[in-house]
Amino acid sequence: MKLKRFLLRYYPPGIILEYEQQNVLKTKSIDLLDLKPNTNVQELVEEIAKKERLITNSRKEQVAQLIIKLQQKISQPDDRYFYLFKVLRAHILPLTNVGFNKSGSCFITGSYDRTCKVWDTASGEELHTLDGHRNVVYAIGFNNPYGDKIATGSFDKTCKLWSTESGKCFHTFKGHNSEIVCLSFNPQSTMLATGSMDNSAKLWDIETGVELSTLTGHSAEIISIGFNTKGDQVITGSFDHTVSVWDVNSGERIHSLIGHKAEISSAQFNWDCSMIITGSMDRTCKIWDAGSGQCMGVLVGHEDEVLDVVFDYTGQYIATASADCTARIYNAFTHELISKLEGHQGEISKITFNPQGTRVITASADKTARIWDPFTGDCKQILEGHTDEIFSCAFNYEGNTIITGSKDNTCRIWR
Amino acid sequence: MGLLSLLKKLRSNPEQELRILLLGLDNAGKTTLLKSLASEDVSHITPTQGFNIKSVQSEGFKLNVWDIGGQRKIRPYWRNYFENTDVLIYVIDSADRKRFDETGEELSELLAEEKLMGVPVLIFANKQDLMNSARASEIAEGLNLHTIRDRPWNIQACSALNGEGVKDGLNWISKNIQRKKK
Amino acid sequence: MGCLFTSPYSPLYYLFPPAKSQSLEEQPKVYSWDVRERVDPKDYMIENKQNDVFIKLPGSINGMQFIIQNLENCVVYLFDNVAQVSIDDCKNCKFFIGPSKGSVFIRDCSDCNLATVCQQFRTRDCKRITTFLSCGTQPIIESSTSMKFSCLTINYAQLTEQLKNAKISIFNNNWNNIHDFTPVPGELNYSFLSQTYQLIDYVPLPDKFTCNQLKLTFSKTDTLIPLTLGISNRPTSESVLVVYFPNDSTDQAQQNQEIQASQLINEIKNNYSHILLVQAKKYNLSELSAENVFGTKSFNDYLKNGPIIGLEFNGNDASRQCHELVESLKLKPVFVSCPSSNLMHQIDTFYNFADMQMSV
Repeated sequence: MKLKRFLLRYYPPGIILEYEQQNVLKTKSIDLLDLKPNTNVQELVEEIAKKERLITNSRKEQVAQLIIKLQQKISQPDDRYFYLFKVLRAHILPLTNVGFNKSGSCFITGSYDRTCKVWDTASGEELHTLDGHRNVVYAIGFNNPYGDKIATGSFDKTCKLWSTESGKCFHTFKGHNSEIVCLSFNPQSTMLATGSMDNSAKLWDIETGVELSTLTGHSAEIISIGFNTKGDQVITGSFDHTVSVWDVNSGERIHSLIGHKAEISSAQFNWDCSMIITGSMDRTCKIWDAGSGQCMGVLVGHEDEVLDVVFDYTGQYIATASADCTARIYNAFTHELISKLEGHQGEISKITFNPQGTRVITASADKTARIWDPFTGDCKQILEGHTDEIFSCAFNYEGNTIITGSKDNTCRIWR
Repeated sequence: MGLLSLLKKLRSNPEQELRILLLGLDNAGKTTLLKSLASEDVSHITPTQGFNIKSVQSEGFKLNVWDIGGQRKIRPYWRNYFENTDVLIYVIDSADRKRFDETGEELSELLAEEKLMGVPVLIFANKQDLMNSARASEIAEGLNLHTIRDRPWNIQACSALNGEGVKDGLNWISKNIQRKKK
Repeated sequence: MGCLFTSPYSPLYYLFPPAKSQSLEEQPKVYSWDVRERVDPKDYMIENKQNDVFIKLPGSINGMQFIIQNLENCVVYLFDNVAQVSIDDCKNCKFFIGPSKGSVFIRDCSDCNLATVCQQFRTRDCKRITTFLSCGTQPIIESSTSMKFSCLTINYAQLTEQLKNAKISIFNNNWNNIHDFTPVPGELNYSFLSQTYQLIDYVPLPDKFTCNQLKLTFSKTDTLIPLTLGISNRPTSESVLVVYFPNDSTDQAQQNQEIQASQLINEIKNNYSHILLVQAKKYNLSELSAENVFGTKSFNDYLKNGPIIGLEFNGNDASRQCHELVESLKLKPVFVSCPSSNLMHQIDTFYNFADMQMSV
């Protein structure tokens, strides 16, 4: 094994090692998820060197420099004020979901008008209209971090794979018997997972366009789907009140997470694949051990349905959004409530951290999106202007641009 | 509402919950009817650019009513909303005689839709308060409603503006649905 | 689906006579339209005419529906309340349509000029229509090209009363905020007339006698409906927001509030020609939204009294002049914005809440 070079990953903080093994170039990552601006660098370097044989004495100084760089990045104060940059009269009917590519240079919007549009973030120009679905385009996504492909899942029961560059359709994935409402690429971008109102999920090969497996076992609609970071497991959340974890290679169910008393609204792995968070219409969130499938804790407190739940990029914090008009931030390990985000006048349907973990954005039926300090619970800013409910919102990787998509047929860029 | 709630309203309905699709030409009075159903103020209503949804309680049923814009340009998108429809409400501006043909054509296209097969249809002959309005019986004849044999149907005269007749239409719905849902 | 009636002549009738209570129930319900006085539709219709002028005076329509179709080279004035109006298949015509409680819907028309005040404005399949408009909601156009819009300026003796009947506020005019259902990439189906034109250039006044009788004016100075520039057309970077609140929840308080707002508009129009009204809004503001706009809770007590009226003026020194004027007029309760870097945001917020209030 020979170390070729280091790559820096800011969010979540980590160092990627590129090395050669039997003439094959490989990578592995050293995750520094709990790196703080005041972490002792030398101690950390020693700790890393103890675990990682590739870090020899001669490499230690380089690693120290990289850690200092990461520390500088995460200690940058975040008091950015967002201004409305552009209003895009994006679609002739309401928007569904929105999403950025990794760099944030372009983003996509799905709509009831059966199209998905690709936009240039800097100019607000429309790059492509992905036209071909015969019903609402509901679930959309880039194959980040690459960003060269886009997947669209539609109420027409099909999913399509497109080229970001040309806007051409590579494949149409047919097989579901009902609306496709969630989808996800694996991080390696070789596979696409789709979840449908037909109670099943499917895995598709991106290269060939063939169906790899059908994940059956849920007894109601699947409305949330995602891969773990390694890409070897898929998680599905269902209206049947349960969450399933599936082995990607065999298509077998590994765990069934049973315990919620109402429909699941969202389910997600944390970065290091050790934990799973689930949100439910039963007003609670549950934290599960990904290895054993055992419930490790219940987050109670919301007074109405939990509509969205996410980990931050490092997997240390959890944000929950509810129909009770509030959002909450928890410590993922201690399950301690860190802050309550109060102020919205309508249900909050979407919540997400910025990649830095320093801000949270919420999208609400009160026609505003709000930016919060997750640690104090202070509302830092109210993004106003949409004339109807906001269905979706997203930060780019740098955390300096926000897009919001609304039922008012427009999309707004804030920076 | 949010996207998740949309999905909840989209799925096959639990009993006692009805998915109602409110269609008709632009300016027929769909949103006024929707707001009238929900007992809201009907004096300042903006032309609908997308859709509106409201949940209304009536006769022990929860009605999830989807009001979709009626401009010619967005009519092709009506079919987005066909799935799992329990009742179709079709609204006609009874005073806009110039467009009786147009509204009739749109209605017969809807009735020929596979996804709406057998779905009961309630036609509201709206705007009866206007002087030029055709009576419900005239409209029924003009649109050949008596040839509908594949589903329960009814035409109800109403004025969404002052609320008259709206309740009678709802009563018809609950009577006809009870039979189906049993 | 048909109903199976049992005829009295059928032998079944004697076997199964309808139960009494049931037959009572089955009596057709009587609605207001079944018993209302029948009118002659011809009185509420102008159709199939050429080269003619038609004037409907106040009291001749009384809030009924009105239909205009198939005219050429005609001029039509409806100086009365209408329920809704459709204008179909007209060419080279000029119209004034009085306060419409519902929609004014124009279809298949070309080369027409129109002045109207309405709750909803809609067009389809039209070409080259110039509209002087006061519209309570967002005007929409569909499959229409070369459409021009401007702010309606008008007054006549009965207009105030008619606006009230139609539930239209002169402080809510969305003429400048068009929604196009059929946009064409790279082209604009609509544009706004330059301020140098006025209504009289597009729609002539009727005969002198009618004008005198109605005390009719189309002038920008005597208009009842405030002349607004529209938010896309601010001449300078200096704007000021003035908001009037109703003192209590009585009709009298709301009336006073309107009088005060009109008074300020007129004072500015008469004394400071370089300061112009950008837009006015009248709507119910929630307490939380109010805090966002005003940066203080001190106006919250007034909000429950009824809708607020907001006016944005623009021009050099607009802020100082408004402060002075409001001070000298001793009108209360009122908010006047102070110049700050955040002011435009404050004004945008004010409009955004208005748009939200008025959508759906």
